Amino acid sequence: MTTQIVAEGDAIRLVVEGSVNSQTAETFEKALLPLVKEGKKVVVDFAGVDYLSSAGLRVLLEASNTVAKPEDLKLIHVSKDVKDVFDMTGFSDLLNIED
Amino acid sequence: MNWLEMIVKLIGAIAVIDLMAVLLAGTHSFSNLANGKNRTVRHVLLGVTGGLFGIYATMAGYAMPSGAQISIRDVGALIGGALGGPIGGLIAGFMAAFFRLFYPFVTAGLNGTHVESFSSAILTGTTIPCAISTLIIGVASGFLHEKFKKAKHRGAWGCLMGFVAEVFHLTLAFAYLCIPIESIGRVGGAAYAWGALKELIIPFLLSNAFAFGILIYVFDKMRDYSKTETHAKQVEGELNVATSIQNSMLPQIFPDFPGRKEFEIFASMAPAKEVGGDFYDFFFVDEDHFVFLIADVSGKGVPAALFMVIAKTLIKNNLQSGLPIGEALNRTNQQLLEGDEQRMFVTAWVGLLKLSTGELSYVNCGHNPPLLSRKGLPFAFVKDRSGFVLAGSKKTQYKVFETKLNPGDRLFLYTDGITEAMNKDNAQYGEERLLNFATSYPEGNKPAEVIADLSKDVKAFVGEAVQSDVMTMLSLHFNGSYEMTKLPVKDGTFDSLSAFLEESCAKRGVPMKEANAAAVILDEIYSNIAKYSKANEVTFGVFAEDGLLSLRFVYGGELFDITKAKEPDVHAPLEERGVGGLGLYMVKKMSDSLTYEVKRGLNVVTVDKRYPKGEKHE
Repeated sequence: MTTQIVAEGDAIRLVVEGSVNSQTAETFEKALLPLVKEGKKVVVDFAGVDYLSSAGLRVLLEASNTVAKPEDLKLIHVSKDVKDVFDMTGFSDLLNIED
Repeated sequence: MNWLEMIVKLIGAIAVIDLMAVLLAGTHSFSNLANGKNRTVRHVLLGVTGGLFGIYATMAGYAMPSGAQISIRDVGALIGGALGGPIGGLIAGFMAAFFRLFYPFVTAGLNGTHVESFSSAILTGTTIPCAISTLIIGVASGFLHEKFKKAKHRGAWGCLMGFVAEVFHLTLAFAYLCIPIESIGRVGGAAYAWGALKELIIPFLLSNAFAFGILIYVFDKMRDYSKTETHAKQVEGELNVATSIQNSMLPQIFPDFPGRKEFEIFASMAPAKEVGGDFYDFFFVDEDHFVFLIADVSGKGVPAALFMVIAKTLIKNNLQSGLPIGEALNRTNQQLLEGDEQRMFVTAWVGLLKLSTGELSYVNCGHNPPLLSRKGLPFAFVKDRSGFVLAGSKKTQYKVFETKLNPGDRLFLYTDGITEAMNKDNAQYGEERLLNFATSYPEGNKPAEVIADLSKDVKAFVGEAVQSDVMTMLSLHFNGSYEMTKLPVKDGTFDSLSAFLEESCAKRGVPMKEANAAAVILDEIYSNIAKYSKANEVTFGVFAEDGLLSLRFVYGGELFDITKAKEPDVHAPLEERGVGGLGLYMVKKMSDSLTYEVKRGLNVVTVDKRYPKGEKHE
C-alpha cells in the first residue's frame, strides 16, 4: 500500500493505493492521523484501494474520533467492495462517504 | 342296531376330540402351560383336559339296544394318564368315570324320562364296569407316563395303549354282564354277556385305539411345530440383531467430514432377506490420506457376517498403522488366512486418495470392476486386478495401481448384489445395464443421489422377484485439492500468504470481488492467529473449484474456537466503539460459512465462500 498527499486549496487529499490490511494499517495511520490532528480538512481518496480489513477500519475510527468537525474528514471514490465493508460494519453511518 | 349311525357318531367324536387337541396344542398359552416347567400345573391341566374330553366322548357315544354304551371316553382318561402322569390320569379318569356313572340320569333328564330308581339306573347296562374301567385306565396309564414320554413313535404306542385299555374295558364289562341281577331282571351268564357285547367289540376296540393313536400323533406334531416355530423366530431375531450390528459398524453419517471440500462420498448397504458379508468403509489415515473401500465376503449368514467384521477391522487397522496400501492388504490376506477354517474369502476394492494432489492408489482383490468417469467423459470400468481374493492364497502379493483424480472425476464402487440382481425371468441386471445407467446419468448429481437413483433402477429391474443378495455401493466424487503452504508465524508471513492466495485465486478463476473478500478474510484470521494463538506455524490452504472458494487454516498453540468470539455492536455510536471482534465479525459476514474444529490437537478453521462460475479474473 502506498499513500500520497496532494494539497487542494485549504484541503488535503490523501491518495491511498493498494490494500489496507493488518500489515499496511500502520503506514495508513501514520499518513492520516497527523493530518487530522493538525485540524486540516482531509479528503481520503480510496480509488486505488482494492480491499480494506478491520485494521483499516480501526485507523478510520481513530481518525473519525480525533477530527474536530465531522465534515473535516471525507472519503471519496470508495469502490463497491469497500463500501460493502463499511455497510456491514455500520461504518457507513458514521463516516462521511462520497461516492 | 344302526351301524351307520354308530360309525358316524364315533368318527364325529374322534374328529372333535383330535381337533380340540390340535387347537389346544397349537394355542400358545396352553402349550406354554402344557410344556411348561411347573410339573404339577402341567399334569393337572392335562388331567382336566382329558376329563373334559372323556365327558364329551361319553355324550357323543352310541347307546346299544342292550343298554351298553359305545364311546371313546377312555381316550380322555388315556390323555390324562399317558400325558399327565398318575395325577393327570386320576383326575381325568375320575371326571370321566363319575360322569359315566351318572350318565343314565343325564340322558333321562335330557330325554324327559323318569328314572325309576337310583339302583336300577346304575345297575342297568354297563354303567358300573364302564365307570370303573375308565378310572382304572386313567390311573394305570398314568404309571406308564414316564415310559411313554421317552417313547419313539408315540402315535403307534398310543394306538396299542388304546387297544389294550379297551380289551380290559370289554373284559370287565363282560364279567359284569355275566352276573345275574334280579332287581333289574338280568339273567346273567356268558351267553347273555356275549350277546350283549358281541356287536360292539370290534368298533369299540378300533375306535378307541385309533382315536388315541391319532391324537398323540397330532399332539406331538403340533408340539414339534411350535418348538420349530419358536426356534425359527429366535434365529430370525438373532439374524436381525446381526444385521443391525453389521450396519452399525459401517460409517453412517453423511457428510462425514465437514470442512472437507476435496471430495464427496456416499455409501449404502441394503440388506437382503438374510444377513450377508458385504461391507463398505471409509476413513482418514492422516489429514491428507483418505481410504475408501467396498468388499464382499463369500457366503451368507452369520459366518459371513463374522468374517466381514474381522476383515473390516484388519483392513482398517493395517492401513491406519501407516503401512503402504499394498503391504496393508498383503498383511490382511495373511492374517485372514491364519484363522480361516471355514475357507471363506473376501473380494475387495480399496482406494487410497491423497487429497492434496488427487493421487489415487488402489488395489483390487478380485472384486467387481468399479466405474470411473473423468470430468466430461463417460464412465468406464476400471478393470485392473491386483491379485487373488483376500484369504484366498498365501502366495498372493497385491499389485498397487496408481492414477490421478482431477476435479470433477467420479468413482462408483459396488458389489455383485447390483450386477447379479435378478428379475423374475432370472435375467441379471449385469455390467452393461449398469454402464448404460451410469453413462446417461446427470454429471452434476451428488453421490447420495447417484446411489438412490441406481437403487431405484435396480429395484425396478428386479420387480417382484425377491432381492436375493445384499446391494452395496459407494460413490465418490473428487472436487479438487486445497493448494497448501506451511509457514512459520512471523513478520512477513502475511505477505507470503497474501501472495499465495492471490495467485491461487487467479489460477483458478476466482472473480476479483471474491478474491478481495478472501484477502480480507485471510488478513482477519491470520491477524487473530498471530496475535492470540501463540502458534509457531500455520498451514494455509486454498480450495477453489466449481464455484466454491474455501480457505483453511491449521495451526497449533492454544485451542480456541474463534467462531465463539464476542461480536461487536456495529450500531453503537462511533465514539463508543472499540474494534474488538470486528475482524471476525467481518469474516462471518463476508463468508458463507466459518467452521472451527480441533483435529489431532490442532486448530482447524475453514471459511467457505461461493462465487459465480465462469466470470473472468481481471
